[in-house]
Amino acid sequence: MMRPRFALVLLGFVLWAALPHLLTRHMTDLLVFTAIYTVAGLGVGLLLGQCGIVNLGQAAFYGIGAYSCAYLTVELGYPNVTGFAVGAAVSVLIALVVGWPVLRLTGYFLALATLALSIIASSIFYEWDWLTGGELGIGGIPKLDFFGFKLDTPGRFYYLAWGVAFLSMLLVSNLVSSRTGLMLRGMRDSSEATASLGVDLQWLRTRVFMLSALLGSIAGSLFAHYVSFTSVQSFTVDKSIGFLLIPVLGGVRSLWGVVLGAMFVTILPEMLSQFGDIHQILFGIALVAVVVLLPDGLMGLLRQAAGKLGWSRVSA
Amino acid sequence: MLEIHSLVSGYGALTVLHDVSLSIGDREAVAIVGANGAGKTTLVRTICGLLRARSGRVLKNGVDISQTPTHDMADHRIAVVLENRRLFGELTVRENLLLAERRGRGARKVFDWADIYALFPMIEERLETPVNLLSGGQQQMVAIARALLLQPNLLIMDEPSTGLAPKVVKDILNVIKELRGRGMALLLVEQNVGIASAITDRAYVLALGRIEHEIQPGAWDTFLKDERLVKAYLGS
Repeated sequence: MMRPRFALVLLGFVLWAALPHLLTRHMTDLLVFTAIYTVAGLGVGLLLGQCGIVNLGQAAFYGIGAYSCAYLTVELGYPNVTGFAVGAAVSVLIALVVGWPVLRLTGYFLALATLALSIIASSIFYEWDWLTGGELGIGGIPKLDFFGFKLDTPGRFYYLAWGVAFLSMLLVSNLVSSRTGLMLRGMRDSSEATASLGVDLQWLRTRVFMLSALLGSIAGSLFAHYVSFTSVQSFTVDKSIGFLLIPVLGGVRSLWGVVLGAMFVTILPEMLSQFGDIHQILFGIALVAVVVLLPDGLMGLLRQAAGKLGWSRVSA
Repeated sequence: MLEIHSLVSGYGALTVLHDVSLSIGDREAVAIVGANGAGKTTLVRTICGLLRARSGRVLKNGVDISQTPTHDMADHRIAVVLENRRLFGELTVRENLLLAERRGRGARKVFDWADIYALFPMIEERLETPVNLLSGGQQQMVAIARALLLQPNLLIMDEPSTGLAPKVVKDILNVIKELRGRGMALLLVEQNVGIASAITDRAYVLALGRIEHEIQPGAWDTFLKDERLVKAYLGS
C-alpha cells in the first residue's frame, strides 16, 4: 500500500512532468517564466519573511546574472556554465560589499537603500555599453544544452527551469530548518536575546542577502539563455518591484506561496490582456485586492480552503 | 573578574547612569539593588553591549570590553539572562538551548546537556515543548539553562524573580546556589532585597543612576533592619 501523501506527491510530479505536453506553447512559456521568477522571488521572500527586510534591489542581481551569461558566451565565447558561475560570484560579492554597510539600516531606510542599488545597477547596465550592449542589448545568446540535449523550446527549457526552482526551494527549506534558520526565527522574536546568545546579527542578515543575490543571479542567467537576448528594459526598478510582489502576494513564509506569487505576476497579466487597454488597471485592482483581502497571501487562502475541506494541513 | 570604572550611559539625550563604578571578584556573587527607574536594567544592557557606554570602562579579567559587541560577550565568558527572560516562544525548549550551544561549542566546556538536565530535571522532560506553553518558572529555568550553555564564568541576571510564585523563586534560588557552589561569579540585578540578600555576598545600591551605598559582606542584615535606609533607596 502506498501512503496517501506519497501518492499525492507522485501524482503532482506526473502532472508537472506532463504539463508541457498538455498545454499550448504560449502557456508553457509562461510557466517557464513562473519558474524563473520563483527562483528570484525565493531570495526576496527569504529576506522579507525571515529577516523583515524589504528588498527592492533584486533586479540588479537578476541583471548581473543575465549580462554575465550574455557577455561571456557571446562576446568571449566561453562555455555556458561560466556565465552562471561568474554571475553568481559577482552577485554574491556585490551583496557582501553592499550588504555589510547597508544592512545596518532598518525599515524604510534599508528599503530605500536597496531601491538605490536597483537604480544604480540599471543605469550601469545602460551606460556601460561595452559590456552590456547598452540600449541595443546583447543578442544571440546560445541555447543551453544538457548532455547534448538542446533546450531550445519552452517545453524543453521548462524542465530545467523548474528543476532549478525546486532545487532552490529545497535549499531554502533546508536553510530555514537548520540552525541558521533557528537564528533567523530567534532574530524575529527578540534580536537582543539572539545577539546575547552569540549570534552576529549583521553577518547573519548579510549572509541571507548574499543567498538572495545568488538566487537572483541564477534566475537572471536562466532568463538570458531562455530568451537569447538581454535588454536594459528587463532589469529596471519595475522588475525589482515585481520580484518583491511575488512573496508578498504568495505569502512570505511559505515556499509554495512564492510559486503562487510568481504565477500571479506572470500568468495573470497575460490572461487579463484579452480585455485590451484596461488590462493593466485590472491587474492593479487584482493586486490591491490580494494585498488587502489576504494578509497571508494566496497561500493563506489555500490553507483556509484546505481547512474548510477538512484536510488537516497543506504542507508548505 | 569584572571591574567597572566611571561608567556613563543612557538613551539619546537622556543620561541614565552617572559615573558608576563597581567590581566583582572571582567566584563572588554581587547584587545591584534599587528602586524602579534607578538604572539597573540600563547597567545590565551597557555591560553586555546592547547599549554603548558614553564613557568609562568595563574590564573583564583585565580586558576592556566596553566596545565589544553583544554577540562576542560569550568569548569573554559572560552570559546574560535578560529581563523578562526573552525566550523564543515559538521554538521548543531544545531549540532555544541549541541556539546557545552553537557558541559554547569548542570553548571550555563547563556545562554540557547532562549538567543542564541535572540542574533542571524539568528541561529533559519538556525538551520538545514550545516555550510558550511552559509556566513562568519553567521559562525562567530555560532562560538560565540557555545562558549556561554559553559556558560563562560570570552570569548576569536581570530580575529573575519577577512575576514568579514564592515556591518557584525558591527553586530558582536553589539552582543559583548550586551554580555558586561550582564557582560561578554572579551579578544579580534585583528589586527584591529579600531575594538578593539570600544569594549574594554583598551589594551596591543604585539610586537615580548613581551608586549611593555599598552593602559589605555580612552587612545585609544590618541594611535590611535599617528601615530608613531601605525606604530611602528602595522606596518600600
